[in-house]
Amino acid sequence: MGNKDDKDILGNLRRNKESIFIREGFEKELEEKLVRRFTRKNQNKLFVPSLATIFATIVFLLLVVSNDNVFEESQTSTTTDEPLVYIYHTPTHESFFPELEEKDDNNLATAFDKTVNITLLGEHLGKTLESKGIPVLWDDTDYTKMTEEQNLEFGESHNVARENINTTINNHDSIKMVFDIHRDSQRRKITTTTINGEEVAKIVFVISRNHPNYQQNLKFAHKLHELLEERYPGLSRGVYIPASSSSERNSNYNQDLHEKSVLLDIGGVDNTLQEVNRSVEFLAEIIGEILN
Amino acid sequence: MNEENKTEEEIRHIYRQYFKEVYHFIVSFTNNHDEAEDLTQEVFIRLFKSISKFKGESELQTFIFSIARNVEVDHYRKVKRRMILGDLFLKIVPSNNKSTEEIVEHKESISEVYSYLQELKPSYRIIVILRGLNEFSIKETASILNCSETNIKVSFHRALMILRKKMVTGGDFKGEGWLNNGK
Repeated sequence: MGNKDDKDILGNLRRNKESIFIREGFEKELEEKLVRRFTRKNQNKLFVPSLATIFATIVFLLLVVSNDNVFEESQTSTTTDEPLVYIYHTPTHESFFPELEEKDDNNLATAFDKTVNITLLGEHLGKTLESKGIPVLWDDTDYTKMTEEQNLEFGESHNVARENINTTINNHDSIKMVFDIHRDSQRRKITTTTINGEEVAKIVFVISRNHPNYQQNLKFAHKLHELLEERYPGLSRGVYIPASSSSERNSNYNQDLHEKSVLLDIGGVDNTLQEVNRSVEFLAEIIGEILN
Repeated sequence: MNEENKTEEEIRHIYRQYFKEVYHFIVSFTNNHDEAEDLTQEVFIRLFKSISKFKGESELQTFIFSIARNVEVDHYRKVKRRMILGDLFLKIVPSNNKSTEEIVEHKESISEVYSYLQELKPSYRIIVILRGLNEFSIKETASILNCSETNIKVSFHRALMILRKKMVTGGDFKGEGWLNNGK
């Protein structure tokens, strides 16, 4: 009897095998991909370095030619206009799946990159604010690298950055707002909305209760959220306060250093740079409004 | 023969001959089409990278399926690691409470038997798929999994027994971890 059942099970498996769905076109796509990859080895050898060169050139142009203003600020912190907004990233390597080549969309640990990462978004917010006449201090110090070099855990980057941030804030009395920019690790449907027919990454304001004066920071975060909500309903996911139990010694996000310091989660791992750039443009409007 | 010398025609020939079988094997294991596409690609990339090391036409099928089996094992380990890493992420960016569950849960089932199959532990699952779905003999299965024929017979028998029970009772039989069959 057991034998007959076994045959039934196997028969069932085999019957259903024919109904296994394979995405139309996948077989052909993969075939072409494989043929390209394994028959043109020699061209590939040239192709990869040339791609890298092009990429390096673009990064160079971005940094130096098109935006030497921000570049100088981030390096030397000497500007004619004293900065009103201070932007940094702890950690710095958070990236976005659609922008990466080497990745596994199902593995969040692969959504990181040394160059194509969240700092590009901070730079974009900086540029957008400057185009509105708001002087910005954009700090792209690679805290993740520093954290790794000091053999500390990934989550320690807030601590590694603390001294730098403190010095910067003390040296520039002019700073009115401090933004630590991140992206969420939530998936696309949670982190994306549509504004004026275009897909835009949503924003969360994260405030730590892990220091005595957090009410000031919270008030500021609520103000940003409310203004965004008024102007672009749905763009903000609100103000998020992690439960105290998850707040470790290092996770007040250095928000005690400035009363208007907020951690921003802009978009998630599945958003494109274009989508997150759009949302910081909307955010820049609100920031401009508050500063005026 | 090395990979540079593999002609386009040979690649297409091998690919077309085995694509479906490999895809079926993988999708039955993962029960998720997105993952199955990535893993199938990985199998063929590894295959064409290492085909120079392969000798003897008669065992090509076994060679391909042992690669596929390794890809699945690697993937399975990665999923486990991802769950652990997911916890780490919770501590760092505290607002991503759901992400790990979401990854684990977005699976779609081909049919009932296939969803029960997912509840078998991976080593049993692979044997049932190879024997039942891909219709390999005991001997072939043993050489793909690099273990003894007795081992395959016993495991296959046990796996079917569990599967049968699940189908009668409607599941709830958990199998965890890898059984290192003769490894």
